[in-house]
Amino acid sequence: MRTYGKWWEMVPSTSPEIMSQTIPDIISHDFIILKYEELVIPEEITIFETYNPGAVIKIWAYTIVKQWICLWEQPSVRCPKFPRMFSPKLKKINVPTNTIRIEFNHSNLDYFTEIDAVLLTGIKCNPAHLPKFFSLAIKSKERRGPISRKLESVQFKPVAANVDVIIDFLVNDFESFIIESGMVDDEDSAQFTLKDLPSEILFKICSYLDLQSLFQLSETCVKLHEVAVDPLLYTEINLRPYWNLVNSDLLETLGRRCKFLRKLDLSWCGCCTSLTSHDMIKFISKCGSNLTHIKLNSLSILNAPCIDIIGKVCQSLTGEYQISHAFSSEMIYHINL
Amino acid sequence: MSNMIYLQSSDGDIFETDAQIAKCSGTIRFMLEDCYMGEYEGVLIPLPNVNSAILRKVLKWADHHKDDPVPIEDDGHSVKQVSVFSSWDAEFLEVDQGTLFGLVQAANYLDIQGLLDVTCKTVANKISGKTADDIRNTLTTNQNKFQDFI
Repeated sequence: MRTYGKWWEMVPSTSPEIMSQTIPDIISHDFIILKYEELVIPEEITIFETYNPGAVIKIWAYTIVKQWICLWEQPSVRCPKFPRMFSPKLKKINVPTNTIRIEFNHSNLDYFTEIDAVLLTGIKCNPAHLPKFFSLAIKSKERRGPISRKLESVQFKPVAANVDVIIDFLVNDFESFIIESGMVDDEDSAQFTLKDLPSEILFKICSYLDLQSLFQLSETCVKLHEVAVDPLLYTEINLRPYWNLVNSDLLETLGRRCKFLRKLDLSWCGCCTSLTSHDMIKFISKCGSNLTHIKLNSLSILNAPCIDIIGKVCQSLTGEYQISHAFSSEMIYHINL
Repeated sequence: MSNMIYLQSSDGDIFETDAQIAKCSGTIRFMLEDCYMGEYEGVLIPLPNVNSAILRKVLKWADHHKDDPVPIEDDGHSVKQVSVFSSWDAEFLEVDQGTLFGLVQAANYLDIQGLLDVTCKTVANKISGKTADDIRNTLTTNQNKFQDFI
């Protein structure tokens, strides 16, 4: 690892983070991905830090159900400068993995760090049991809203026999029924809630939110949805902290909201997720025309057509264009052209 | 020289306050300077959108921040970092949600940029990291009741 200390954050050429409110508390500078031959359910990971230890801050595992799980994280600390075998206490998971990702923060180091080996210990997985994990994963992926969940639990199966009666009830008696049932409480409704705030205030609140909270907020109710999908909140997008979540669907949703996108950080994305270069081309051609800054560091899906489309669409790209560590031989050739 | 003025809340209570402190509110400042042409000793300003409890809090905040430098106009490039404000403000804003939202609205109506910033950040801090269900349950009332009902 070549970076260490804080000097490279203080030099004049350093660029401020895009969408700084999304930066998490534990900041990663770098990462490595290790692939092992055997699939195991991880029990222990030992990192042989031979030179300047203390930079490891996060450990992820890519499980066979195509999901990244964070096994351990901790802010960077100063360590004595002796080689050590570092094996933090991992979060228990019961899905096999053979891919480990280690993230680093070098700001507390005086000089670069060196790692000799990473030992992954775990229970070997019987190949006959693998299908079980997939079926479990599919179940957990099914998403349902609160209403459909509720309807399922009460086994509500309306029969449309007396439509007239229902319509009559809805038109004439529904309001009084609600009031009588005590669902509308005058004392409660007198109190301010989030929804009572005017839209411009909600917008201001939204502008302090990170991307994930913004997405959650947009799913709460109609009014908050309207505010939270305002294209003006999406002028700067930093997807690097969410590299493990960025997939085709997310990029498509963002594509609808990013009408005025000016700064984009897609670094680290597309790493074993369902994101493809085709998604990226679609996104850039839709939202790229106003881009002034773009960062595509270590973006594994970047290929020649992507670079091509950036060149064609992003005509206002004047601020910054970072594509370090994202190369493939084909691409270097293309850039040289 | 102290210029005392009087502020009347929506429920009729009257607060005596220093004009200098009240002037952190853009709304009051414009009223004093434009409507009373600078001669505002002892005038009564009705604030029909702010109730006593909230107005008391606002004045407390304004008193604490009266010596703050005049905020520079936001140029749109300022770093939006959630959860960076003084410990006094943090303690001041440890209030129930109704009061917090009341303060947001009062800061908006009275045009007090500093108070609006910290209250909005506090609300944002309450939202961040929560799931949609959590937000619905904690920040918008009546939902719990509605779910119980179904």
